[in-house]
Amino acid sequence: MNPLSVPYIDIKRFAVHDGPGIRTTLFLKGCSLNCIWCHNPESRKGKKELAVRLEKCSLCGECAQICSCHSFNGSRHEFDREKCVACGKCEKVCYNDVLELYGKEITVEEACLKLLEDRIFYADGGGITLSGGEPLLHSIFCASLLEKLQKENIHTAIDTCGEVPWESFEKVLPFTDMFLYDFKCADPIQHKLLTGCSNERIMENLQKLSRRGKKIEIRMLMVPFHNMEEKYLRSAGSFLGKLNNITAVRLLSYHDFARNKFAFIGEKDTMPRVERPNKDLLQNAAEILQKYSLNVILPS
Amino acid sequence: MQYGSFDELRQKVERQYADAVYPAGNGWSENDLRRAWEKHKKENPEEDRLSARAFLIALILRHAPIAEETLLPFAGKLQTFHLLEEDRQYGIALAEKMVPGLIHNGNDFDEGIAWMVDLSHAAPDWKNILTLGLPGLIGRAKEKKSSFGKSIVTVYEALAQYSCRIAEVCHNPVYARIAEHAPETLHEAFALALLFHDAIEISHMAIRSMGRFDSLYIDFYREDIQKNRLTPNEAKDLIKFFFMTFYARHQGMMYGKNFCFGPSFNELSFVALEAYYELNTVDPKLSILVREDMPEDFLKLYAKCIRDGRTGIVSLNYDVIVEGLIQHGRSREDAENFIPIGCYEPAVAGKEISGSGTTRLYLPHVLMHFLRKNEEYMDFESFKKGYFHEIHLACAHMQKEQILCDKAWKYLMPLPLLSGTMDSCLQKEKDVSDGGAFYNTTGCVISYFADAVDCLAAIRYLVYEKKYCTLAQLNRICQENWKNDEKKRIEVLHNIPRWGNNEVQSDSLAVELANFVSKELWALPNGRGGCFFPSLYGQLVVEYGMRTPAFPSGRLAGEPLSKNMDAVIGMDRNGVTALMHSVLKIDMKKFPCGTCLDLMLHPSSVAGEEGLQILCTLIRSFIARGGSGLQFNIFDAAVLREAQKEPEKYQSLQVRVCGWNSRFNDLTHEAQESFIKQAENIQ
Repeated sequence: MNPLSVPYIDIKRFAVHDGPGIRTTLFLKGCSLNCIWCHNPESRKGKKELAVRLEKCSLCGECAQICSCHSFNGSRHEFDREKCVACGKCEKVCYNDVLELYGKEITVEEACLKLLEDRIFYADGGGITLSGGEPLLHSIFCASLLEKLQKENIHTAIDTCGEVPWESFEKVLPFTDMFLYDFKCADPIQHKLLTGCSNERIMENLQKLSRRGKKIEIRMLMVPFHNMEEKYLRSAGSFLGKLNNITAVRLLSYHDFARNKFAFIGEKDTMPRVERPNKDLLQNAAEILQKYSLNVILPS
Repeated sequence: MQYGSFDELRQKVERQYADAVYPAGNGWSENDLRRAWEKHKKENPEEDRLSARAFLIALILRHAPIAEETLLPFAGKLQTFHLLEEDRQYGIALAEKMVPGLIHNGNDFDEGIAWMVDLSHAAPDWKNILTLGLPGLIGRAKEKKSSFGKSIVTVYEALAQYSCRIAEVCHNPVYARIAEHAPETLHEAFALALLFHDAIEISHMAIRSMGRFDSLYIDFYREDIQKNRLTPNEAKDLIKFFFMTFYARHQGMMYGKNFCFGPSFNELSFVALEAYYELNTVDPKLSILVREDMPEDFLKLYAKCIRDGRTGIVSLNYDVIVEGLIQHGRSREDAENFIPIGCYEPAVAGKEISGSGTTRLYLPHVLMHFLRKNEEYMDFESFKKGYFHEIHLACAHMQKEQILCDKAWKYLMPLPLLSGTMDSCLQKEKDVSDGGAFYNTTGCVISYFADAVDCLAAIRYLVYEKKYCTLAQLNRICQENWKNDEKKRIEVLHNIPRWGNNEVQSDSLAVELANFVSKELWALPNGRGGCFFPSLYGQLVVEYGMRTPAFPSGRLAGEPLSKNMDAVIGMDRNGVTALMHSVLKIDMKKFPCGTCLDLMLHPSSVAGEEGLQILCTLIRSFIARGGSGLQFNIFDAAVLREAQKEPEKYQSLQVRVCGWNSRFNDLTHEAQESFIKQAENIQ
């Protein structure tokens, strides 16, 4: 029995955007970046936290009877996040899915069982993906889990932002078939503005990774007025074009579906208020990158 | 003959039945037809029902006015002046007289059973029609000297004469040729199939299946191509005319017309599926007989249809169905020759009359009927046993009523046009309504499975685990539509294990229930010398839901019931793969009369080339693990909402309803809402 366990936020079955084929994705909690457009803000902090979706509340009052963090003021459900220790007791009595505890622990064995449930659908290149947050913040767990899965002949992928010590990559490299490597912006200053962190280590790690023979799919979220300027794309193209083992550069279209999630976990909404990039903008970005002999995949 | 291109004529094709005009002069007047029919009855007071019916059909075919249609490759519409319908009413009265106690179409919602004389799930022997042609069918019937043989000759000679009349009135020589000899070209073969189809339908048997399209017509196609009579593109155009003639006849009606493809695929399979893609129509609908090793290129073409909204296709697992049919008593050779004669219901082509919609067992309604008896049981196991016994009683009642229907069928509605195509009817010299088919089975649709499973799980939770209430109290709660127990209802909705999530607790109940019901019906004798034939799917979920009271599972009165083998709407919380896992635990071979699972996917999950591969993997994985009927909807809830608001912008948006498709705009508001609710669950 491996006692190693990590906090996670979700296990998504029939994940078809996290690598090839039909996959199951395990989203681990904790991230090394703080992207303003984060689509999973509930995954950023390493510790447990309670999401409260007030618009779903039926005002039944069950949670208030269990915990004093919840109170009802007439037709309002009030939640004292400062006081909350994320014990999760209130979640168990909430039948309207208002309350959800993120950051429950999962062991390697438990994760392995869960991820293998859909193995019959992993034909044609599918498999499992570890994502987050930043999964490589839990590199020992990841290595241990991926080793087990590889022994079961399951295709393994890691979706990483790259902002981790290189040693973390070393741990998982033998057991990972493919890396999905997020590339936010080539410009270090702009990168820091967008993610709270410079990109030197990310680019360095990517360079090192590209020399190790594993397939790498670069994933670039295209956010108008933030990282789609020609100069950023050119620098990205110039950098990526020199690397080996890049199977594709996949452009992802920004959307703000996750905006509500910030409020659910009591955080300030930092999602850019910009439209989704239109086809022309994406096509234009693709054409810039293609000049560097990159295989660019546009969103369908 | 010359006709325009399909694209130019599409509107005309679609409106051909609605716009049909029957000029006086090419047939008899209504008065003359009525006089001739009355005279015949007067002169033949002792005539048997089959002969009389044959006379009337022949009278209509020979003398009723025909619509004048030129420029289209297919023609043939008759003005029947309701004479056949009036005779059907006479048949019902006669049947009620001859079979005391008969209810020819019963639907006992309280007890959870339904039965009828099913005049809508059958197909003639298409192979015989296309290989023997009219002269061949007439010739072999003439060898039979019984009144059955004479009736067949009567209707087929009249059909041949009708075909000649079409040729003359519509200036279409193809119809003269098919009266004279078996079809030799694709055009002739299609025309003959259509002629039979329409004639059988106006004589009151709805033909659901046009047979295995690619194997029935491949020789005609190849010969036309080889002899330069048609190019592949011209053939594709002809197929479009053929397909859309069925749409024209049935538009606005439910159920649709089925064309079957596979299990071996040839060049015609591809041409026809491409034609279907280009048509983008809600009807006809297709069944594809799939195998684990089916060709990738055909599977991709099928997946492309689904991805791009041409969802009127169900795939059926050929090998599983064949094994199921063998276990239920068909020979291997016959089993391998099945066609779906309804939405998903296999029957041996040309040999079997199963009436797949003949009886229905509404599982949760039986459970509610049992609950209303107000009996208490000490533990859940005893309660479950009691429910299973109630199912046994319901089946026995259904069987009793159905046997009366089986006995009454020959009085109610003999079907000489259909019977004459089947070898066994000729050998037995009996109409299909009199047990003339080789296999005389009685389909039973075991319905609303997920609701029943969830109800069982809810009763276990509420009455036996939490001990919140007794069975009698639960019965009252349901009768009051959970009015005073909303908190408990929400708790049940949230807490009980639900069918469709790959959860052991719920799935084991489901397997137990499925096995029991299948066994109960498997060999239950019917009244035509055969036995019952179980299927597992549920239809009319919105319509019947509106008439159904609240359930212990938390479903409120009036809400939709669960469809086919699907989860209750919104209760498949673990996504499509978990739903498929649950369904795969059921042995589909125990339901040889048909099963089906609906998958609803978001367009983004199947977009592009990668999306096609996802669909192919889902289909192949399901087939490889013993799944059978599978059909899809590809929906974005936001788009459906838009379509509700601005229907004119979404004229071509299709929905897979049950075993048929409809335009989203043609659905009732309630049905639209049920799809939207389901789509919201997959965001």
